[in-house]
Amino acid sequence: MQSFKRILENAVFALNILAVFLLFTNQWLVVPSWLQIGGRLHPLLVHFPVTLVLLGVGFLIFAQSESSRPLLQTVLLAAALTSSLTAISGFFLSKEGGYDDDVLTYHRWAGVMLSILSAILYYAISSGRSRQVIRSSAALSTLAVVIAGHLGATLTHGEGYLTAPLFGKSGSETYKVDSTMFSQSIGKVMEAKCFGCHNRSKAKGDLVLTSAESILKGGKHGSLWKPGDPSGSLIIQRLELGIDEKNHMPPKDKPQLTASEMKLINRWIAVGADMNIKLNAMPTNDSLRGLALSVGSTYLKKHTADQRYHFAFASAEEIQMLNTPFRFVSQVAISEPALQADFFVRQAFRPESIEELSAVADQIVSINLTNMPVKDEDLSMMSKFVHLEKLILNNTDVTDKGVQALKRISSLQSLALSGTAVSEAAIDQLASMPGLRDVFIWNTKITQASADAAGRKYANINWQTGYVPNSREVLQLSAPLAVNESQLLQPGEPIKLKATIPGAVIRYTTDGSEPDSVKSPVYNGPVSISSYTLIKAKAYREGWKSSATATLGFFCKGLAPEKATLLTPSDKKYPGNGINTLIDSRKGFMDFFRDPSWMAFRDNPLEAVFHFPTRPKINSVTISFAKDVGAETMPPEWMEIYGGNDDSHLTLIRKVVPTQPAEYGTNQNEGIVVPLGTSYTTYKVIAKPLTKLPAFRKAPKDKGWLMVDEIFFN
Amino acid sequence: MAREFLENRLNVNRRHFLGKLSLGVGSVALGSLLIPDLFKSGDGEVTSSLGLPHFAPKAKRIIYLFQNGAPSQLESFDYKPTLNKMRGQDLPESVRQGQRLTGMTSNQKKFPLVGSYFKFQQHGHSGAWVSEMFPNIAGIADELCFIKTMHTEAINHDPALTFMQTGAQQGNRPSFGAWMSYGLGSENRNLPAFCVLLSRGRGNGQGVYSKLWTNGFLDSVHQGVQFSNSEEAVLYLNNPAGSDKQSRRQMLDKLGELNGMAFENFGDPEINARVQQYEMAYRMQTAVPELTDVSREPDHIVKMYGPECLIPGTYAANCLLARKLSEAGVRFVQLYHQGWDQHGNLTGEMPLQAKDVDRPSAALIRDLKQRGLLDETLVIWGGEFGRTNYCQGDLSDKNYGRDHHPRCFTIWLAGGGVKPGITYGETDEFGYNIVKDPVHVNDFHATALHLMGLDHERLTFKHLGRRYRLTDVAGKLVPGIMA
Repeated sequence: MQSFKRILENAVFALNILAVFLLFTNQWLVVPSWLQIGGRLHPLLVHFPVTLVLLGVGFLIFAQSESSRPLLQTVLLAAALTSSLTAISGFFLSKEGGYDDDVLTYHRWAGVMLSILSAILYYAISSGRSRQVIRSSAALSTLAVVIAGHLGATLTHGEGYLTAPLFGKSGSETYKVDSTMFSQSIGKVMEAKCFGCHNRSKAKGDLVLTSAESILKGGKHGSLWKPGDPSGSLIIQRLELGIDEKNHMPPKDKPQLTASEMKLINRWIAVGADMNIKLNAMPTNDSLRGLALSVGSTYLKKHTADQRYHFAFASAEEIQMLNTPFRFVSQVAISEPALQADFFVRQAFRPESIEELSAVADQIVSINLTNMPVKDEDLSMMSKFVHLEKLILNNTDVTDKGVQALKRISSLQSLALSGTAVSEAAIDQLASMPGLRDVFIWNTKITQASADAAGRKYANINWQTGYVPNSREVLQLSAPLAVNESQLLQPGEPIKLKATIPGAVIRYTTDGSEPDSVKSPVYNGPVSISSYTLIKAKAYREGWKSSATATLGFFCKGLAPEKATLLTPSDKKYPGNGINTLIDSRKGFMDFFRDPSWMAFRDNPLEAVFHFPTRPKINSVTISFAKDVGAETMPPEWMEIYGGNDDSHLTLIRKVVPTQPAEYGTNQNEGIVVPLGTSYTTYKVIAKPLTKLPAFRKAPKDKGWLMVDEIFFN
Repeated sequence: MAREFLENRLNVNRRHFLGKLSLGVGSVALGSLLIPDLFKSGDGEVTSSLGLPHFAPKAKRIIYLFQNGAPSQLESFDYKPTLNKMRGQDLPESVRQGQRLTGMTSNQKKFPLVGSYFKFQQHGHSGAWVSEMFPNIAGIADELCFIKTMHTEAINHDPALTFMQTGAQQGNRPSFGAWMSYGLGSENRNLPAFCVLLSRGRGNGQGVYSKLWTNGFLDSVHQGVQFSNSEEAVLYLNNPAGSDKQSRRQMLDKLGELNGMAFENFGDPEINARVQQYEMAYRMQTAVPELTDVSREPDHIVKMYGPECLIPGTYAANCLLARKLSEAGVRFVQLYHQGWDQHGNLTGEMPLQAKDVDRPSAALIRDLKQRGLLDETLVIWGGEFGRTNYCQGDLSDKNYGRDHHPRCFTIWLAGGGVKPGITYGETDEFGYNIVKDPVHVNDFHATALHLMGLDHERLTFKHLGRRYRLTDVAGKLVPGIMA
């Protein structure tokens, strides 16, 4: 017995630790299904701590004799054990959701406090602590029972349940929710929209809707529905009467039923008006079930403070059905019933695809029809979208007539008509729309002047006219472009240029001078070249500033030597691919010098020999190098070309000393052409890297790099 | 020795064994309550929101105009006249406070302060300071929200850029756009949800790599799709010569039948995924040409974006394409403009860079606005870090350079859910340290996700045993910039 008690005492301690732990970690708690049973025992378990704690405290007060001590201890141990178990099961139940967050938090804390206090009370008694300790823990436990119990009741029965009979009003009546479809959907609709007048204390037309029996009894005009015959049913007739009719229900000034609520009641009567059909007995693909779920969810869901839209959710199936690759329909957020609809791909647009949205007409808040071939008549049904706030009709075929059809959408706040044929005549129509705040009329027939006038006349609307080109603003043309795919031209391939702005004229030079707007030749067709050529070109057009100069270098693919040898080592950092780098006709990219299409020299000159046994006529030799002053990559200091028919007796044909850049300039791949006009078997090329950088370019080492990717023999 | 073994065995007697067992089983049981898939493998996470925002979003789409290489805040939007007054004086140690330096200036003996070579002026009702290099952006100052106090942890381009784009410096994490595609899905199923457009500037460039638009450990459908700089924005989309739309349709129908049979046989879901990809590509054949079609654009759109917008692969052309993609429902359009790394020759290179981006950036904002799209599109303009207030290399009368500076830099936002016409945060008079309202990269991501209706703490993906977020374990919202 004693050891059993010890085990229970330890269990109480352990369970309290767990309860405290869960108190702080419950937001991450995920309850597996088998433990949910434990959670659902919570409503049963709660009765034990309430009774046992109060019983124990009662004992303490009224039966203080020594002989009652063991019984008291047993009662209090049971109280401590059940309160800790109750607290833990409560954590599991709370995960099923649907409770008020604030009350739940307080209830959680009160429950755990009760669990701890009842344990303290037990330990205080069993270890014979002072009366003060016992008394205060008893008082606190009692308080905790009352608070936790009350909060728990608030959670299950709702706020003010206890005091409702005192302050009760008829409006606080609720429709009892059980497992039937009716109670979870139509009953809730009635509770929200009909109970105000049809309850026990205020039964207008002798109709009481607050319970199933009284609903079936009907009012003074007889029963509410004929199963299977919606249009012959009184409730449907009253709901569908014009809103201005006297007998329309709910009355004009009261909240009306939404379209999906009407549809739900209609369908339910049509299939037999069974009040007892259970929601979970209905097949999952039953459309009535879907409707009931979506209507019911509106009422079951507690609207949070930051929620923007307060109308019913559309069913997920319905939204899914409306989604096609060319029409995107989606809730704006998981917590919002509002839907957005966007249309894509002009060729795939069908006018009916707008009409099809009427299934969710209540929920649509924004529609985007940009670039769709929407006609005026397609807009006639837009007034069905009673919550539409934003409509985008840019670049559609809508005209003033279409705007007229939008007048009845009183919820519309933003309307984009840019790129349509809408004219001044639409301004008054637009201004008459009560909710409209922003109108976008850029690139329409509405002139800036009339938009300004509209802005003065109807100042509550922003008339957005957007960018208007200013004829005084003169822009610079973009520089001409080369059409050729590569700057290395294949034999016979001419240079082709292009001006991007239509109507611009290109003038160009090939001698390195700046193009002149009068003297330089006009480009009017492909230009053929025979060796490396630097083209400088500019675009000109009336009303525009002439373009910047395009500097375009073109190389001509040369004759391939039969044999070539590199005589000096290239720099270790940029070794390239040996002699092949120079003769493989592969151009390098300017900012990727590590690529083997480049090779570099710095400490020693580039020396290479090239053999042409057939002795073809060589008009020129071109060395292609990189110029990037920032990276100390410069033109060679000088170049020498030797030639001859005997490898050991080559004579100097020509020496060239290129000009060095005087400023940073643009980084580019350039060429130096050395004219020859000879027919030798062997040529030797020597190119010396720059030994002293120009004064403006200071660097730790004074030498320049010579970065070469090709040598061409043309 | 034998005794020690015995003692060791006595350490675990039956009582200990049972005691430890109960504790062990108990903690495992508790662990499995808190983390139900503790013992499962990491794949197959389902988004809690199923492609819907957690709450009503302020913005539906993002266009991120990334200025790659880090444009100097001191020559663009963060006006510091003190630096002009103190030109040439050494940066006081009391300001530098031991800030680490890059390898490029760590052996520099002096850190001479240098002010902007370019003039500043206040613009709009908001009185935002904008330098003379950005006249068009100055013209829309009242639409913009300048954050002067962005700061980052990295000091070199690659980690800083990766941090800005993926929320981590190391790479291989999903990028900003991939998270967006994962969290919100695609609006237009005929186009990728995440598109990437590259342009090269005219200044000192830094590389951009596909790791910046990677899906990381997310499903590969969330990867950014890089558009081509050529005349054809999407390569290999046209039917080959001699094949028309009709025969393509027939081919796909027949192929669909065969794939259907294969699916019947093997039941592999990848087969259906493949069929869907074929169908999407088929739809892109109509969607993309409509996208690049300019026939419904007025002629003056060219003047608005500048004449370069007709040259594919330029920043201007990419801005125009970004607007069209965004207008067509692409969630995230990522632009990169390279060439902002002005270590030297700042006065030579930066005006060229500014000229590239000034008019098109402003045009994009104006164009979205005049179509009623600015309130649902978030536009972001900025680089990966700032630049130092002292000169790197030689300080001459007309030229200087600036090194990397992670402690503060300026970016601007416009559109969906952002307060227009404000300047948020403040840097000290040296433009070196933040004195008010710092915004960390994680904070910036958290806020951008919030504007898109996503809670950065709930947008997670479980990988290698833990849940990852774009903001990982940090990030606070910046309510001061949210409208």
